[in-house]
Amino acid sequence: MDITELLHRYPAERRYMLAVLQDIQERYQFLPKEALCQTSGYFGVPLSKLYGMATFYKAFSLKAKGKNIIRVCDGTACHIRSSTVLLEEIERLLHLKPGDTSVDGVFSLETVSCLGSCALAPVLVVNEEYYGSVTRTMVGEILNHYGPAMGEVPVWDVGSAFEENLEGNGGSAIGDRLAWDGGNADEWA
Amino acid sequence: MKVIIDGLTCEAESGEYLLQIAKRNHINIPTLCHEEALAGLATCRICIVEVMDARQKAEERAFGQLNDDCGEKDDRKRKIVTACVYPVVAEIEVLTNSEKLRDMRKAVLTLLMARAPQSDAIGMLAKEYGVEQNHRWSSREDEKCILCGLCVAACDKMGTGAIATVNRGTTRTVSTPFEEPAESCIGCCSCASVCPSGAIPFTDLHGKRTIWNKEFELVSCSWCGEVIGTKEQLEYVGKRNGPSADVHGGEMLCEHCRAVREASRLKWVSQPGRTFA
Ligand code: SF4
Ligand code: SF4
Ligand code: FES
Ligand code: FES
Repeated sequence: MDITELLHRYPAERRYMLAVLQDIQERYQFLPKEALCQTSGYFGVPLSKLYGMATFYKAFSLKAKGKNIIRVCDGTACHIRSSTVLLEEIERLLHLKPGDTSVDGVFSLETVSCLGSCALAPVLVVNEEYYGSVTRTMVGEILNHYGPAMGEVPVWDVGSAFEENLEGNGGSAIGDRLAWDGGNADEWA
Repeated sequence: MKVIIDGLTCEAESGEYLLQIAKRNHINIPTLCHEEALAGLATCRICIVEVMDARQKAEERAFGQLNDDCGEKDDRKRKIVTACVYPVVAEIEVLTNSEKLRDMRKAVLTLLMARAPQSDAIGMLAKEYGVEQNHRWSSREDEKCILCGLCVAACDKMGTGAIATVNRGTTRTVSTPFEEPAESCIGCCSCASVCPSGAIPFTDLHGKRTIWNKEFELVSCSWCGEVIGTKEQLEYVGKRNGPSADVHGGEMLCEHCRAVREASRLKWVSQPGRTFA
């Protein structure tokens, strides 16, 4: 593993440590131990401090992640609108619990607290793609786009999400329709 | 300048910390996270005291800013500060044990006790303040650490930086990187000895020290057999400060025996008739 190039994007000053960790996370989807050791050497900062930093921020992971990262929102709005059902369905299909990575390395599952799209609750994100008003039946269809990690999955009726006529602004204060259209409308049309 | 603590007039330099002044005058303020050489953490909040600034109050009155409805019966302004990091820059009056303070310390202790039910230091203070364990908050039953940060500061001061606080929220704890034996740990036990809570376990057994899951070889005083430290620690200190003064003709001496040796040398020197045996 060579992160020299990543390190040398920044001067060896402590204030750039976080940025370097972010870059490493972005490249490898996690912070490999070896990379943290090299970073510690570059900045002349004890490894313990970097480990403290890496464990403090939720954006960092110390375990290798799957190719696709599923994030199920379990913020207040999504929780009330049955985000746990989505988690159950993912567990049924992929045998993953939050924090797990599938053995074939295709999927990792995480929960997050509010993605700022409460109007679309419950929200599920795969990599950078947002899916709103997800129902149990939709989960399999969505995951089918990404990988072969499961067997037979139920087919999801694409039209239904739009017909639901969502109301309210949610915590993000974005009108439903607006957020919906600005978001991922193509996926559904 | 003058500082009145619990009615006692004390002399103080400007900028001196309140706790220092109180200590010098034998006024007891409880502390947990304070250590002379590692000052400034102010994490435990047990050393709170009430400060009244008579002069400021007078000024406010003069400028008509005084709000007499703020519930202060006493004709002075009061505030609660942590004595360990409060620099005295004006003439003030201080209370260290008022009813209000005792109540506030009780609240602090209730929380500390919920965090570290097994800490003796907390237990003793809790007893003194009549605080009972509150079972509304669950914590790990065997927890002793109050997360004061003294151990981390001590290790940093050694220059080893082998431990840090990791995680956050309810899972926050002190740990070595990856919870593995740390390469930079020299087994000096500074962390354990500075901990107010006895939360860092270590053993010295059969010439070996175990701390933070790492094993070290112990070095003992050539004269009295007292443990001086670990091999790694003496090497590290030697490297940092140049050849150790402890080493003398292949001998390793503890502080006490070294002092004895120095004293005996002086005696020889001061008695011109004597020669080295
Ligand atoms: S282990 Fe001891 S010194 Fe370290 S943070 Fe916990 S209580 Fe403080
Ligand atoms: S024993 Fe290890 S962790 Fe503790 S102060 Fe010494 S070097 Fe640091
Ligand atoms: S709670 Fe899920 S997006 Fe806000
Ligand atoms: S002694 Fe802990 S805050 Fe002052």
